[in-house]
Amino acid sequence: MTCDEVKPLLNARMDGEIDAIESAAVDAHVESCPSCAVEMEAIGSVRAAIRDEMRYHQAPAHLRERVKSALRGAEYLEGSARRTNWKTWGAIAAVLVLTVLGATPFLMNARNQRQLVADELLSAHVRALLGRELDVVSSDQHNVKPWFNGKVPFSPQVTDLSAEGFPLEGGRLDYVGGHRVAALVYGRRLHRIDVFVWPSDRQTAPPSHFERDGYNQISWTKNEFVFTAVSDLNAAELNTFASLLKRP
Amino acid sequence: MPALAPTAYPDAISIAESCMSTTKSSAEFDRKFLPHLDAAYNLARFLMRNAHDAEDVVQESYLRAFRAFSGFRGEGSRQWLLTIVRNTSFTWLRDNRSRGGHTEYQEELHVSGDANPETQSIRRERSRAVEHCVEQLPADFREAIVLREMEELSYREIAEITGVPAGTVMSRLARARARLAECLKGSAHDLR
Repeated sequence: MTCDEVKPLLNARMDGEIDAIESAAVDAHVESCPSCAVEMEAIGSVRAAIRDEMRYHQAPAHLRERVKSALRGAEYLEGSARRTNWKTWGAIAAVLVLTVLGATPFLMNARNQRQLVADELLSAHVRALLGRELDVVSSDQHNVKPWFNGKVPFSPQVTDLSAEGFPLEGGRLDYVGGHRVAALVYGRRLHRIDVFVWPSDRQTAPPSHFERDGYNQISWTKNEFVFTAVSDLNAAELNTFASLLKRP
Repeated sequence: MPALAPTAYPDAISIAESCMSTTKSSAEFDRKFLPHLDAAYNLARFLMRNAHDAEDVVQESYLRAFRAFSGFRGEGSRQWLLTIVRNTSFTWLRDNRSRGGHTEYQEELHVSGDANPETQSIRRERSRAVEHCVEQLPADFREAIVLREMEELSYREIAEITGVPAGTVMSRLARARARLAECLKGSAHDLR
């Protein structure tokens, strides 16, 4: 074997990735070739350095809990989707009928898109209830608003509604439709309300009203921002809450 | 008189089974995939180069894995999960969702059993140099190094995870090691 043949195989030889016959041929060449021997030794010491010195990053303990609760949230949502399976079949039938009738697929896409966003918001809310901590804990709107600077590429409006019985609890970052969004968290007795905020040109808004599994969602657009309030609070009180935020 | 077969109440049985199936499959998912949490985190940590993004990527990967679980053949769960982790990581890197920046080097994790403080500090220097050089590698080289040296996967397994031919894995590893050798030569301490 020549150097040109041997050199590309040195790594594979060290990794035990070539067969015995080829290995023997490579070894025989290396023994009589100082340049290949130097290269082989260099590969060996890099491998040793990595194996000895590179630190295996163990998952922090809180990550295990976080992953577990996210999984339980997903499982819950999947279960509820199964329970309402007949609705899905109904929707599929409706899609088929409309397609046959020649309804514009674009309208359906837009609608499905909105539905998907609503589903995603609900699952983000449930995940948060299942154990994600708030990223910023504060009842002061002047603490919460600046916290989002640099974390989302926009500045969400933060209003404290303690006087109206909806105290601000804090905020966190969330991901919806592949975008980072701001989530403001309010309380109402023992209920929690998430208000998701993003610029209206960034992505689709969910339907203005949406209800599933006892969770209510109300969505509106104000000052070129989409706001969506999600909670297990009853629809009437959530409406009151939304109208307070809708005030100019 | 006909024997009372266990299928006498098919409805009751199938209802009970369908009620159990959710819990059963999620318990199975946990049993198969939670043991690989460290491997998932380690790969994500090296690809994202900071702890925050790595944690988010791991969580998202587990959710993706859970949703795709019904299509899982039941073998090679670590590889299957690592494939999802690397795909999620690369999506994040591509979409620039990374928060960037490197996490500070955590001294306390590096203290070895060696009692001699001088030896310890040399060891720390070396670890730091190696880690620094690995972080400088392009992501696909870094990925090959982590999968090969830390997960001890074969070229073929790495090829399956990363979706490239085994020959590409071989050349990435060769080039990654050549770059590492170069970088380590430049670092203050001789490695030997």
